[in-house]
Amino acid sequence: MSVSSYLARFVGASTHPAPSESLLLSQLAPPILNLTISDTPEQWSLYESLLMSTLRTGDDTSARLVLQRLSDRFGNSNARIMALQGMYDEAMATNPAQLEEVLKNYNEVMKGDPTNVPIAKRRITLLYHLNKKPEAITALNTLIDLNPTDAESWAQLAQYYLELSMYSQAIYCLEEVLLILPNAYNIHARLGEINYIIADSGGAGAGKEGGGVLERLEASLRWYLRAVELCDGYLRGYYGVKLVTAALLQGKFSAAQRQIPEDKVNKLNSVATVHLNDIISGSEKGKKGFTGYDAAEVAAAKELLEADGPST
Amino acid sequence: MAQVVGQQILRDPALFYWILFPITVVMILTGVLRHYATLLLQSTPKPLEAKAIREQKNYLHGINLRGNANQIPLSSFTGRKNYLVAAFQAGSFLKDPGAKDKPPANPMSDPNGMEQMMNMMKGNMMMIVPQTVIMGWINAFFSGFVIMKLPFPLTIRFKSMLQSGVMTRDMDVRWVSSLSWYFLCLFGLRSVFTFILGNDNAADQTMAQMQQMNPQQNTQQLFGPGQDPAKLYLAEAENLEVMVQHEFVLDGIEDRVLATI
Repeated sequence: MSVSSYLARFVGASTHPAPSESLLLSQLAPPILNLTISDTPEQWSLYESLLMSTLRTGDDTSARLVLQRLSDRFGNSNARIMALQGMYDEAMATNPAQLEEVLKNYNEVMKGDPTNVPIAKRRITLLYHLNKKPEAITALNTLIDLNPTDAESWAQLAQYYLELSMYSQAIYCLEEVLLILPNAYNIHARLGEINYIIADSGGAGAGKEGGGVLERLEASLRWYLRAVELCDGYLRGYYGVKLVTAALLQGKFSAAQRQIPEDKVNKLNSVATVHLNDIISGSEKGKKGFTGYDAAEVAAAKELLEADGPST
Repeated sequence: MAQVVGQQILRDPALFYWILFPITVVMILTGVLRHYATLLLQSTPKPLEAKAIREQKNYLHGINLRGNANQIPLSSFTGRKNYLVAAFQAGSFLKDPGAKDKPPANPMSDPNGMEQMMNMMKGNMMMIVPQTVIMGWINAFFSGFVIMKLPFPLTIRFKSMLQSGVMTRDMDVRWVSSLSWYFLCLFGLRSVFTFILGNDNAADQTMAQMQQMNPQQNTQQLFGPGQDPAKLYLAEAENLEVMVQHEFVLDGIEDRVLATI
């Protein structure tokens, strides 16, 4: 196999690979390392992906070798290599004290060069996982002040805020992502999710607009619909539409307050049901065009439909 | 019936081995050499300082907000707009907030601009020096030779292109002089270099010319030397301020989805 065919396997892997998938990828290490080094961009990105997989599966010797080759080529002072090295160190650490050591190392690098974005991001992640959440958020805010056009930072910040139940901040961050990537349908769905969570928790985080549960639900529905509009066959989007329309139909809201009339909500609900059914049956039979769905997500959608089934 | 026979000139076959072949080889070798010399001489672009990055990226932030305003609700947009307009007008993202009212600095005194100019100089020298040397070499040793005959007929217009250095008015255009062969090699070896050195090689004449055209193309500088970021920020603030139309993309989405699905 050639570099490009190996690379295709890594690119084709899911973003959150299951352990078995990671293992398969990591087992590619010996043949990949035996390939002659052709010094092409593809080869080095293949090395990078391989490093992640080997670290994930605990193949430390291969990881060491891959990292060694990368740093031989690009030098130890390259920002990206430094971040990879940091990742390796983090993976090798066996106790919190060693992680603190890595963190200290990051701090020193950042003091020397505050523009080292890869290390800054590693430092933020490490801070967060060392349970120094406020510090991580502050650091991330500094990074965003430096570069407010980096979608990854904003999305990460939204995630941190969401975990702390700071909903309006999370929404703000995701809106920033949309300003950078206006067609990111997963972000639209995420906004729908957050609005649904707010509605679900009783509109507590509704903020100064005084948005009640109904308003939040409708906002959520609209975000989900936009996600579906942008990406046909987006399982998560249809799941959200189904979920939110069901909530809208069950809730006792007066027709005068509704911005989206009940009959439309009803129609949207049935549209979502049809699409979800299509996706579920298609992916179970492995039909063309219905592959690549996450099995867990399909199962969840099925459960939702079954729970909903008797009532409709 | 006598057939029209083209001009016949008896050439020494040694002309091929001692002139045509050496010129071609030397041209290819200099091209390859120039590629590596350029790579050696090129200084890696200096990473920007934190403040410069901040200045550029926040400017892009404003442009992004203006371009994709319809993606976010009106209230979110107004909030951001007010914040950015105030910040832009106060110049709080500038690398050097004090310099807001001063005239832009001379680009010659800006170290970044100097760096760019040095790079351009180096590139130009790498083109000019070998060309002068080789052309001198050809003029000194091979001038006036007619070295080959093209296998196809050409019109008289090509005479000046193919027979420079040979002052014969009546000679057929198909004959090529040594100096002309040099020029043909100079401009025509592009695909050979692409074959040997890969796609973006420095030996390539046209590439170098392209880079001369827009030197800012592959540097990280967003603001060119001589451009005043403070003015750009003020202009952007004004652009944001006059944006009154806002059409939230989510308005009426339920009808759109119902209509299409």
